[in-house]
Amino acid sequence: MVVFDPLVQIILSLGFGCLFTMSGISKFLNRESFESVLRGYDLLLEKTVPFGAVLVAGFELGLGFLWFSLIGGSFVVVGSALLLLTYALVITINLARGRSYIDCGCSFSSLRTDHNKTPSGLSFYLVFRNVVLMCFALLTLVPVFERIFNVLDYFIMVFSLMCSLLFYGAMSQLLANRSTINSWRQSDA
Amino acid sequence: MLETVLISSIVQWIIIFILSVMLFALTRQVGILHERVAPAGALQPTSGPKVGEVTEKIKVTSLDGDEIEIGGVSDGQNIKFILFISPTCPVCKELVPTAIALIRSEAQRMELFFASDGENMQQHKSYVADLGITNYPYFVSERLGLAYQVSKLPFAVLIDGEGVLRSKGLVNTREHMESLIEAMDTGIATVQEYVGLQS
Repeated sequence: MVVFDPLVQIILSLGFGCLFTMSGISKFLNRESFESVLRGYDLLLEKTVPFGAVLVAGFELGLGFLWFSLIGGSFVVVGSALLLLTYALVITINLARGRSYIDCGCSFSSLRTDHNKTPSGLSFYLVFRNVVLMCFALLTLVPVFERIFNVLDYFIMVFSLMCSLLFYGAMSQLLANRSTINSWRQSDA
Repeated sequence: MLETVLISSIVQWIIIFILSVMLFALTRQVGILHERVAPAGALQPTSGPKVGEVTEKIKVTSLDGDEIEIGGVSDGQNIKFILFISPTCPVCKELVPTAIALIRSEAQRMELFFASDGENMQQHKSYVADLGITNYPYFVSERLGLAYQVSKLPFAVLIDGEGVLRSKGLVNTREHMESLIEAMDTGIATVQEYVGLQS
């Protein structure tokens, strides 16, 4: 039977906590922009868009807090995996419709602050990213053995968490850059 | 021994963290550069025929000996994308494959022609062979260059099926050529005109 070091589980939990909390707060703070992103996806009825925006932001925020508190167990993991899977499906549906030009709304979850300036379009890389994140979330369901943490463990925890967030931010930025470059090359725009 | 491993681990994590910060900063800088240095359109000279004017019909002979009519009112043929190049222009050599790829993506409505100037026909023939553009009409015509006031190369001209000049300009990159097609599709000839319409 596969068992993980508890440090891996804690780092992943804190990472998802940061990701969902930042994303949820950002969506609440920029609710109008997020509503227009939801409208762009063209999957909700116009009347339900404001409610949908609050629901998604609230769900992300709730998940974020639960990841931080390290309680909720499999409910939080499955809830997060389903949310990420839903995002992947929604992006795939719009890519299949040929609407790759719409704003993905991804900048709400990245470390970018000027998301109103350059909207990032849709791509299959975003679907792939969500599937990878979903796999990482499911990894926390693997049982862990018990041990006492020492100072080095806490040091590794803090640094690996910061590095993971920076890598995630860099990856989101690279996807946004790619989208910008592609928008230059659209001859049929 | 344990102390050495501990210190080495701490040092490694600090280095990884610094590298992560640098990677993130680099991607941000590239992103900001993309936002600030968006591609500029082709430079449009003020001399020569104006965009929107019906062009003068000019008969030219390609290197293969085929006679082609450029400009003038015709019977709704494809849009003509004429790229003015020269064997002595280094940028032109780089731009030709890009022009071919671009016009291939617009093949349903556009045809690519190459125009040049000069007396040494043998030099033009070897130039065409070197560039691998023997399948495209290539004509040497001083009159055509003078008609469109081509003073710098590479220069591109777009003429629609009705013989109307739709856009023209000095082109150095794919983005410049795309901007000419964009200008034709939108009917807005220059960035200045676009800004004027927005305000």
